[in-house]
Amino acid sequence: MSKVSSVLYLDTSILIASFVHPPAIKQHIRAVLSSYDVLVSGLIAKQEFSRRLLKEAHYLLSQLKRRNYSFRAVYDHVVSSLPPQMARKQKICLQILGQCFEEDSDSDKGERLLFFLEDLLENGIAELEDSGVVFVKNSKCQNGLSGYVLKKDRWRFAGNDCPGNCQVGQFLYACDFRNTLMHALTQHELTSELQKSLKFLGQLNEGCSNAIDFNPCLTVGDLIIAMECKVAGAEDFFTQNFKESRILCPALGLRLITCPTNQDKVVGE
Amino acid sequence: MSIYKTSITMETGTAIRQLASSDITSLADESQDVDISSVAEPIGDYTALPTHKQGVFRREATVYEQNHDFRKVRNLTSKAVELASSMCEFSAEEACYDRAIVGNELIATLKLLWILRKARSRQWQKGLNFVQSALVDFAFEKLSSESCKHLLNAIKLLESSELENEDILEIKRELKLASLDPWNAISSHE
Repeated sequence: MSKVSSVLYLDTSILIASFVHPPAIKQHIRAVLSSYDVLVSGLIAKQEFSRRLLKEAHYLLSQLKRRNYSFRAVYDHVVSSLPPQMARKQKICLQILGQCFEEDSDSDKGERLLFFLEDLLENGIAELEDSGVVFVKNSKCQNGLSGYVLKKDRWRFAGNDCPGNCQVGQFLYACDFRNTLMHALTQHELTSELQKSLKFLGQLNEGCSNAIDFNPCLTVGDLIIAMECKVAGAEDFFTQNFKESRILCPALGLRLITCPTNQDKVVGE
Repeated sequence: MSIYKTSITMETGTAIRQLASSDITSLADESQDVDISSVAEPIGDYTALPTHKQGVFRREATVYEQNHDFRKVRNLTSKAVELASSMCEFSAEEACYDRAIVGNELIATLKLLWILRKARSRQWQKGLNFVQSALVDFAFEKLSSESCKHLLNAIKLLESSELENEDILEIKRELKLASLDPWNAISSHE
């Protein structure tokens, strides 16, 4: 792939995929990343990385301890005990559990999993930053800034609710392309998240003081990530989940680069 | 009678071998001939256990056994470094076949190290796990000369018996520079 000398924004799905997706997908990601000079991501993606991947890693770690470090027992639990409402949790857990040390005993697999999970929690974010991704902080997302901490031998993650001192509302309010985006959204048939995004943008027009009540990072994360990408100066947006991005990116003048998921083929570049 | 943790000497060798064979009662008889108390510190009293448990007392690895494993790990780690070094030479000569053979031997050596991992610190075991993970299903014949050097650097870090968190990050960094993926084993292989 030829060098394009530009800035690429990495969505949460790409940050997660660089750890737990099959080798072929990781290779595809590496090939795309190598053709850019600057790789950026943001605080919203960072807090989603910790809320999705690291929180599940923490969940698996607790299950592993509870089940006497048996890999098989944890795997069976994830496959059979998680309800359909937790499909995303199950999917990420199964991706983490996709170990390939087939000759190992159950206890050895359990121990390897323990090492992987502990390191993911201790060094996951540091490794992302070490890999050359610059995390822009324009959005001032408090959950992204505070991340997660180890307190008294227990990992504590930021909650699902946006903290009161979060300034995401002010960041979005200050984006002058907000109305253009709103107009573009009204031209399309919208997913439920984009409908919420449109409603949220409408509320923002009346002021940003109550924006946090909407829990924007949780309810309209894709919208904020796309706006964060635009403000960061990236021209291209790299994601695996393009349901919302295929509408948001053209509306913001961003080029959408997609990566195949476990089940899909490459949709378009 | 006290159970003694000993440091290995020629004089105490017999006593320790008996301790290793779990024949704790015969050790009590022989201890009159071989006094190990001067070279050992007491770590517990097995007679304090209920009578029915004294015979099946599950012991910790003796110092002799631990030292033996330490030596084995040290030798195996040196062997792994040698193998990785020779791969660097092979890659320079573009001897793909030889590199693949040495690569498989390296994987076998790392497997033996994993079996003996308890002789090293937990951080060291983590480091070994990442190196092994990166080499799962890896085709060594594709490894470039530059990649071989980075793989060698990663394995060299395992020569130290005590690793810090920064060393683990360095191992992962070197593996990535070698175009290897330390998280390869945790990724779903579908």
